[in-house]
Amino acid sequence: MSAPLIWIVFPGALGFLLLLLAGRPRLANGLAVGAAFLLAWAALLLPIDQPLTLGGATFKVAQSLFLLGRSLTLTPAQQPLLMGIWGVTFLWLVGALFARPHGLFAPTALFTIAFLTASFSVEPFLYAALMFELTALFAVPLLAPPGSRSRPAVLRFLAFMTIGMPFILFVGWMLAGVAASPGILVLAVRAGLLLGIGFVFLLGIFPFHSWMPMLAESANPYAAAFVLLMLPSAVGLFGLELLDRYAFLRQSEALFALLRSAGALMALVSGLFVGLERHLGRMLGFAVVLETGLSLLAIGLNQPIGFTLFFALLLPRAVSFLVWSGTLSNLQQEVGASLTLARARGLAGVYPLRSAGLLLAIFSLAGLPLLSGFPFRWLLGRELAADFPWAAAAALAGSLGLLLAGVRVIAALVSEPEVGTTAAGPLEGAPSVRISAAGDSTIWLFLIFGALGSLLVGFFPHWFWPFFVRLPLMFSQLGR
Amino acid sequence: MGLILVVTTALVMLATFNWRWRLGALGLQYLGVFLLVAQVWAVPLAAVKLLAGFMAAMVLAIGRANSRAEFDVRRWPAEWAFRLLAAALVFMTVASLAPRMLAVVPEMGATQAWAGLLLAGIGLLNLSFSTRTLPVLVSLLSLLAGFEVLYAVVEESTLVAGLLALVNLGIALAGSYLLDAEAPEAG
Repeated sequence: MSAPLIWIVFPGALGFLLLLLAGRPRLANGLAVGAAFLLAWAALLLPIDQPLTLGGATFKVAQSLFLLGRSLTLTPAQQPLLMGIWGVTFLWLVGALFARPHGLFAPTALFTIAFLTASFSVEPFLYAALMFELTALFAVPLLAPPGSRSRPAVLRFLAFMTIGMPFILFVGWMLAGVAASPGILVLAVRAGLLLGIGFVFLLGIFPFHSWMPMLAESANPYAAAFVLLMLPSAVGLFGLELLDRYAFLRQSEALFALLRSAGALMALVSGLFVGLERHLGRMLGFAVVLETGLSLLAIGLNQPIGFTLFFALLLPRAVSFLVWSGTLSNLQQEVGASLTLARARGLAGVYPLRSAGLLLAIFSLAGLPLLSGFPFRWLLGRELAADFPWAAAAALAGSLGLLLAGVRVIAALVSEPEVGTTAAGPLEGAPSVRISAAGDSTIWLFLIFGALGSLLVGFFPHWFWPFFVRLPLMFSQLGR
Repeated sequence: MGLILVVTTALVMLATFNWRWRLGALGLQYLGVFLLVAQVWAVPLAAVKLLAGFMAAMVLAIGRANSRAEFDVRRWPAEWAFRLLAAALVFMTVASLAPRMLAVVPEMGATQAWAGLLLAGIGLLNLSFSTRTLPVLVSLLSLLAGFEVLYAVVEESTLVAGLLALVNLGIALAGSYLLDAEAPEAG
């Protein structure tokens, strides 16, 4: 029994088995929910690499699994991260009961997380690039189900992932040479350049970000948001691993300056675009770009608090994207059309709860006080303002852009539908308000938990902070 | 032989609009890749790339044959000339990059450097010209093939060979899936 077997092989295998149940999505989803819960619980309670006595028998969960001359290793220090990953996956799988994405969501979610877990456990760790590529490939049926119009977006997504992968793999070989001869500057510069190009494609750094809003617009929002949340986060984690492993990267002030510049540019550009955007799905895509920019800014601080903030920003991001994409997915299925601001006119009168959920998520990501996004963004802004005020200003501008987008969404939701049209489906006369109906209990539960979650993190961030402080300790050099 | 094969097939894929020629060239291209990789790897391990490549081409061919997409439209000769001129630019770029590559990786042979860079460069060029599913995915496979030729010199790992083969097959399967969903386009 080994940790990779439990948290990588088992969910991956279960994901493939659940493909057979794609025609029965609720059953597949239920099984996946159970598995995610068990895996999160196991990450919390099951000790890795320590003897465990159960009913007289003693066994140990080994930390490594050897495969074709290489290994997958999950250490005890990574258990909090595993618990976080599977906890978030559990929430997203539960949310799928409300969002009703394609039947492939549950199996795809499981083997996506399995591959991404493998990405930070594989040795040599630079093979993670292959895991990212495989994750993108396996996500294709989920992002482009039959009858969808997301083929161009999916092709672009695949293209950028495929272009980024070779750079990371090749750098793995170059970094060995740099580590052996750290004084040779030209080697370090070449390696850094190739690494930078690889990350530009994998993270969707401006101007190679176009696949994110395209995907959020044309694919099912819930499925797209899940991929857009997990993949860049895993790539960011991989970036932290690189910093931890290689001293010449960690000691390069130029690298951190570049990270701050890239993060600021992404925040600024995404804020501009999201504020002017007219499609609710594309707004979500640009919000992902903004969040990626904030993560880069957090790493660019080059301080222990910055690395802690990188992890801390993941929680409000996960909750807010869950509520935003879930609500959007549900609304689009109710309305029967892709939601632009024009189509969303008057929806608040017909679907008040869902509209409230949508707005809650947008304003939470914008960093409105008392919501989940505020405390950690405020902390990031404060840390940036001390030494890099221009970066703090860019982050603030990005948040203001998202705030503006939220205000425009409010204006659309509460305004009257245009004469002769309705955003709420084929209705005659004034649409009636749907507060509650048979089968709406899932809506209530989803939105109540989403709102509670957001307010809980917003009101009591100090409850969660000790957990985030522990996460960078899984690295040997960073955060110490 | 490997270099001639990969360059010829890459140019055929760039110039042709016929999906049968394109996929046939892809299959032959993987034969060239095998010949190049076999110079540094054990033949059984290098054969993995050949088999994976053939399977990928076959999967795409079956997918395209069953697709509802319209057949490719004949293009004016000017487009062929433009593409080949663009390929000439790639040649010139590779001519300046190849010696630097050889300086960075002394173990690499000149044929491998040229073949890998040309394949990757023409694949990238083809990708930039393509919007439809099959050309995009064939270009990605070509780009990856070029990288694999270069990477084979510095890394000989069974796991990497297996994972890269899996990536190639995954791209082909994704392509087959997307081809099935591709709607007919206006001529």
